[in-house]
Amino acid sequence: MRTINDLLQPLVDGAPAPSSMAELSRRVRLRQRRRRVGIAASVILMAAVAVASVVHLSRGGSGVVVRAGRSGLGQGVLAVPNNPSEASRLLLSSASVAKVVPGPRLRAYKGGGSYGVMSNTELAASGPPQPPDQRGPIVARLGVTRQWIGPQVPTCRPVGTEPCPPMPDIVATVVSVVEVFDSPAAAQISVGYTASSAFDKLGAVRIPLSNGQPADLVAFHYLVPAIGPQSAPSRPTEYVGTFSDGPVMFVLQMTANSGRDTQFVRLVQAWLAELAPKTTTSVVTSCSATNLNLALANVDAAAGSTISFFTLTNKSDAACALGGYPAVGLGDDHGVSVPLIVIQGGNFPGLDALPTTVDLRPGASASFMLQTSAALNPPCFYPKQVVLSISGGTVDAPVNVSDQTIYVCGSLVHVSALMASTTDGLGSPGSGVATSALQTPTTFVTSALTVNPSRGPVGTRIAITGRGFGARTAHSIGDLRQSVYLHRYDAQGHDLLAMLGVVSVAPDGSFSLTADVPATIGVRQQGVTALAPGDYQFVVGPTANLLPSPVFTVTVR
Amino acid sequence: VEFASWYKGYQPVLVAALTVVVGDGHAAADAADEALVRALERWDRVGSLASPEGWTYRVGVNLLRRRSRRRAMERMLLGRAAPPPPPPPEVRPDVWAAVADLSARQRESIALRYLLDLSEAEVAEAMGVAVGTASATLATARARLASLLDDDREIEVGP
Repeated sequence: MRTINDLLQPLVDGAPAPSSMAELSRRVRLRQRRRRVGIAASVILMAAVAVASVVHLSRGGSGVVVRAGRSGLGQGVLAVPNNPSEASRLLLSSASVAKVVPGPRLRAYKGGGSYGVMSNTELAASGPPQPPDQRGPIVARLGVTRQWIGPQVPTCRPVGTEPCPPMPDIVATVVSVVEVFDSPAAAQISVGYTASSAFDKLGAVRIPLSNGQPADLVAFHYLVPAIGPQSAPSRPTEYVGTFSDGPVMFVLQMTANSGRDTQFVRLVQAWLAELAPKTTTSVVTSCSATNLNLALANVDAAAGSTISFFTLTNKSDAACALGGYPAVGLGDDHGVSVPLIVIQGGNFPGLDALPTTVDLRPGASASFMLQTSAALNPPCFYPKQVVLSISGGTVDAPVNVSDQTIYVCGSLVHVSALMASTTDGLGSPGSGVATSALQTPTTFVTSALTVNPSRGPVGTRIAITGRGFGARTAHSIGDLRQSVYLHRYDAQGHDLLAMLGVVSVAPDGSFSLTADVPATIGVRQQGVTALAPGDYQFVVGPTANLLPSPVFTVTVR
Repeated sequence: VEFASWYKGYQPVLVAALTVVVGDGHAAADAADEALVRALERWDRVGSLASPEGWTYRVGVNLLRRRSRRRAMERMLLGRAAPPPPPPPEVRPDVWAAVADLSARQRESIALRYLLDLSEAEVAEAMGVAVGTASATLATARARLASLLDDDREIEVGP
């Protein structure tokens, strides 16, 4: 008869010999010394942070008054507000600063909040143009990168009867300045960030600065997919646009409203990942507005924004061509066009494409995406009409008012370039983004599929390629695998699913699958039924809670 | 209690107990070493406690948990999974497999009761649970060990 003590006693007998008392005493002294040094370093660090960050802004006369506290900023201040849409208004230079008032505190500029500030001296800290980082035909250099971390909670002033949208807690603001030299008319610049914790909701603005003067806000990236549990940049955030020589400021904000431990968030790296000339493509537009039909195909709501997928179908008997970025407008209840700042491209991670020419046979479709922010920037409204200007005419598509599917806050919208739709039987755009915030235990990714019984798509071979899910989580062991489904809710609300296959997610997050559209689809635990005409979705997932949202494209083989 | 004599007798027991809890002998030895250094640093206070063993064990477990979190973060950043620690060679493989099959709380209760030789009340205090909970956990752990180990080996798993 043996006892548990007997069985485990070998562990005690085999334990390594204890250290000597002298060794133990030495380590005690070492600990005490380290503690003293650590306390001193913490005090110094806290003092430095306090001096650098206490700045508040207010309106004053012809400019903005900066009460700089003890930071001693001197002339020239670059202020980064919590709300990226206000960045252009609060991007200050020496010309727009009315005065710098020494003092510990003043009211905030608008709606409260605190601001990180970078002086021109800091901006120029890396000196005059000296391009060491040549990453392509253009020359650029990652300049100053500064970071503020703290409980910066933006506030909202309700406008009219519109309620304030949910406001994220911004836990970190990072400013990076990239200097561009010898830039061609159009370029593609990539700036990436990586963090010590996966984060799903990030905002970034790109603001070109010309001789230190504020310029227009040219892009607002609400979702930046580059952040992930990676130690090296593998998925940089791309900014495509027209650059002139000089500094370009990137402001990135990490939000923490997904309910995870914000104490653990630290941005660990920013880098200039790539700089390459933008491929210029001659775009031919020969379709007239009268020959096109505009339709809203699908809407995905994701993390405070909506991406609407539109199709433009050639309803004439003759082929024509379309291309470039659609000139899009939104109409309100009364059909009145709402003032918008339309940004071309740049906010469709994984789906963005450069402008190209799309040939439209009779009955064929082109597609494009419209991204609107549903947070941060009131006033908000539900557009009732989407209008496109093409070849001097317009085409429009009513938006279902009862669904209130497209929600727009602020005046910034992003539009993608026109893309060729997939093929007969497969509806456009054939791509999708996560449909729910990451608090949801299962994040589904959807894509539109229109079943046309006369032309398929049963048996049609499709390819799904995309990326997402991050690289690995702390809990993942071995390969990360995700199931791919065809999905639909039937009239009774049943959840119909047909598994298309299982994809292995590569270490960089990419995945691909080739499958045939099945003839049957199943009601969970209730057998299968034939694929009926209607709209279906592709679903990749579900994903784990902490993984970045995947995006993917569906094409026909 | 004089630290040197206490330390000499307690160190291997603490290493063994932490090994059972965490499943990694090397990590357990490191954590035990650090916990004992901290005990020496505060021996005036720790030595006068009712159970210096319980205090030191708690420190060791906390160190291991912190290390585990740090390792998890490293794995996440490096994008690779860590191989499982090898079983301790001193223990029979079937016994170790049975211990490893217990839940974390059950392993902890076994380590405290049978290696640190704590009473059920002290086990409860070290685990931060009620005495009844500790007793139930121990009983479940014992029963599970009995079922996992072959009967013909005549293992007595009673208290």
